[in-house]
Amino acid sequence: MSPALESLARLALARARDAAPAWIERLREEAAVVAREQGLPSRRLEAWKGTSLAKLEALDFVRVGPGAEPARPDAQPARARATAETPDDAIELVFVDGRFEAFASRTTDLPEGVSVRSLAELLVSEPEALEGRLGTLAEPKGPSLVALQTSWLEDGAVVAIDRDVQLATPIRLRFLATADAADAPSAAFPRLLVVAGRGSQATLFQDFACEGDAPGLTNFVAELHIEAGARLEAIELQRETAPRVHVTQTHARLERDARLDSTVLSLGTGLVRSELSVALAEPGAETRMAGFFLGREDGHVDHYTTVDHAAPHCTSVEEYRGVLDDHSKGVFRGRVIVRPGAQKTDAKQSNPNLLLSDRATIDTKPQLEIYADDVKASHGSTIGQLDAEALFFLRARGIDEARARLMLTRAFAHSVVDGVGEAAIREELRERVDAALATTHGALDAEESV
Amino acid sequence: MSGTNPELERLAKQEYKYGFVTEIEEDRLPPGLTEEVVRLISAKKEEPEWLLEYRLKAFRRFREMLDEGEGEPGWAKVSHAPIDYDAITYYAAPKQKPKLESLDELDPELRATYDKLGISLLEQKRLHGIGDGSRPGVAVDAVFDSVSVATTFKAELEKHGIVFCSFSEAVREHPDLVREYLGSVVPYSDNFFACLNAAVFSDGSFAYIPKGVRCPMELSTYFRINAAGTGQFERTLLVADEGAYVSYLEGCTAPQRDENQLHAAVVELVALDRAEIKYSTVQNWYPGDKDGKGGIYNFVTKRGACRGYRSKISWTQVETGSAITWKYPSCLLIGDESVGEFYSVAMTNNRQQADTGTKMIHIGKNTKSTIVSKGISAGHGDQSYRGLVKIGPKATGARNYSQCDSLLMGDQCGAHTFPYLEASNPTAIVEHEATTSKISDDQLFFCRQRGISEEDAVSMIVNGFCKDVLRELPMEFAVEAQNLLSVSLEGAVG
Repeated sequence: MSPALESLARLALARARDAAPAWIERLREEAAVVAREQGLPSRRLEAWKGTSLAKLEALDFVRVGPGAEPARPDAQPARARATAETPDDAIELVFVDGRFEAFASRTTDLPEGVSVRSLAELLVSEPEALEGRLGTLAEPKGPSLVALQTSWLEDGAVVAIDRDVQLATPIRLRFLATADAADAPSAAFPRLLVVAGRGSQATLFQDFACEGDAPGLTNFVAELHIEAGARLEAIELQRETAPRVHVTQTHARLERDARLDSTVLSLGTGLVRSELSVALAEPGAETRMAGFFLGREDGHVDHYTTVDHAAPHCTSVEEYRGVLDDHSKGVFRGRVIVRPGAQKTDAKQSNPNLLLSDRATIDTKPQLEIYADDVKASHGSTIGQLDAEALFFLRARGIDEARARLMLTRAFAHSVVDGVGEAAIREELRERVDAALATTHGALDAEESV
Repeated sequence: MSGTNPELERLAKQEYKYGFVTEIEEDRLPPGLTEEVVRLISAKKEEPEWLLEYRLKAFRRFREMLDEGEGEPGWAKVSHAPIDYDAITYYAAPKQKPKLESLDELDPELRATYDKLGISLLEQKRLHGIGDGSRPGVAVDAVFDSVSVATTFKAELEKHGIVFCSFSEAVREHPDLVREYLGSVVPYSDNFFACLNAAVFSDGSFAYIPKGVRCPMELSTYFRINAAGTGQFERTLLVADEGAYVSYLEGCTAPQRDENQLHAAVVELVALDRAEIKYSTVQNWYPGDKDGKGGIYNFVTKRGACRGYRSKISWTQVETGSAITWKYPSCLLIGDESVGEFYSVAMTNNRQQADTGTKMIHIGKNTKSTIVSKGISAGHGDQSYRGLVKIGPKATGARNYSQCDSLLMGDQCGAHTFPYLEASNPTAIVEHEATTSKISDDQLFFCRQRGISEEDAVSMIVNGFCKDVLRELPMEFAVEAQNLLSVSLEGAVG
């Protein structure tokens, strides 16, 4: 067993029991067995061909969840910072090292029919509300870290939108990882469960950040149940920094005529594995999956997406864009499955990538698996540089090369951010993307020349 | 299906017209894979010590893989019952005089077999061009089970300094050439099946085109599996020296049997400076019956190395046969400005499975590759395009374009695309496009309205869909390929 799994198993023995019901306990135990038997996924597995978890395997974890308070003198302000940009009327939940922090959260004055609670609290007070939902989409088998996460299933957010409720305010979930004074490795296992009732509408913004330079693991699992006719916009921003390892697994299931708009942004510098799996389970379901990833320094960003067309008349449009700089490596896997009988499927996928440095690498694999004949399915993948003509156009107008490059790279990234429906979040994302791009190769020269 | 209706049975058999068996006395080894078998094969072929050593190294590695349970690669999207490598006969050869003085001495039974397949081994019978007789014929190396039985036009080719013979003969006559290039493109440890082949390969073709020579005729190898319970493990090695050009064709058939037979071949191509190799395959191994019983497992490793500056290797394949195909003709683009091409039509009907594609490894500067893959799936057929385009860190200015289209006929079949693109050089341009569709009702209606029967219309549309690939084939093959596609599709419509 790797040091990581060994230390986690040791920590698991020492963990405090909560009063969760037997079925939750069984879920955890079964997942723990699977996680132990499987070990961490290796590169020999097709799904992990592009990504090595050696960095994670070597970690000797000293804690799961928040450390002894206060972990670090500046930890408190950091938490405040995590919420500083939030408007006053926002609905916001803050999780520190995977644990709900009530004092930093704002969950009062919720509109009627909207429930946003901590999982730890629900596990004890109303576990029956979770039954049949929790652990049903993200199954703890297969080559992923879902089993490990489920064995640590303790806290996270539970969002429920009642039938036909249109929630105008976005729900913000901030996940912050802290560092000890000694920078000892820590792990966080936050969880998210969303039930979007029939005909409801909501926006969800998940923001992952960390403080300090401590190694660690954030292993996140989200399950999104989107009922008939519901619309959910889910935005995920990942900005944890190296040497932290960030693994997320989001599983969504869409019923008849439901819609999911997903936007995933990876701007961090560590090792990232982000899995998104969308099942279009009933006719008329529709999803748009947008993603932008930026690789910097010796970062490693791996996006593994799956769209499962299990019913006829479903539509999926997926576009993931990558910019790779310095020594970074980008990995994209886009699976589109069209099951037998899923006629009139319309599935589009594209993955354009920009390589900014001669040491950066991109490894992309869009894949179609089709078992029905009356379908439209296409995918495209490109690797290249900025358009020479566009560069010339800008240079001809007196813009120096570095500046022109930055402008075009920003435009390349913004086309993903621009798809976000919620204006305030879109603005925040734009700023974050611009700030991240400003540190890339060539962009620094551009800033100087301004 | 019990096949009680004779008419039905006849129709079912008609689908694969090369399913006959030749009654011929065979010299064969007992089944099983042991060091002794490897030594015996080597001894039968009177091979030098170094080649036996090479085989034994491969054999030990293969045993190691078997024992460690590594087994067949699991990533391919095909499924089959486990193969018992100790139940296969690794050497079977028609009994004949040890040394033939001329082609006329060839066993008439063998000659009849090839005549039946439409491959004449008598040189004078070959077409000597159309009209003026200036167009040269095709030189054929005929491989029957484990051995090469005849090679035509050798004298003609020798005038140009071209070596074209069976692999065993090459080992005897040109050991230096074989030793230099054998395993240099596909090392014995490359993969499970290549390793098996390196241990037990029996025969195959060898060609060497000397500096600056443009091969005056198409070279061709015709593979025939005849004996039951055997596998075919041939090895082909083509070397095009500086500035040489060669076009090589490969065809294959096998009898109709209820058992699955293994065909694990290795093909190595080497192109030096400014050399060009065009390698075309029409693969028509027995595909099994419509319930998926029998058929050949075609697990082949084909790879070409563009070693020289401006060298070019072009693969064209039409895959209509085999129960399972597992094949990725690849190009290592090592020389600067070298070019790799891959044109493929794969057709799966009934219960056939195909996992095929290519690998283009860009290593040199300004290297270019083009991939055009057309997949047609009908009945319960299942097929995947799996291709890798890899741009190394030094491959400045590399360019790739890939296009994979799939055509689905019927709602029980599957078509999949698994392109792997890996780039480590910022000046690389890699493009991949894939589409999946079915024959549109509009297209069919258009043809039907003009009095074309549905089956003919489908055949026309399919041929149109494959045109980009078929036009890359040499003329004789293009006709055969078109016919094959129509035969394979019979009964797939309606």
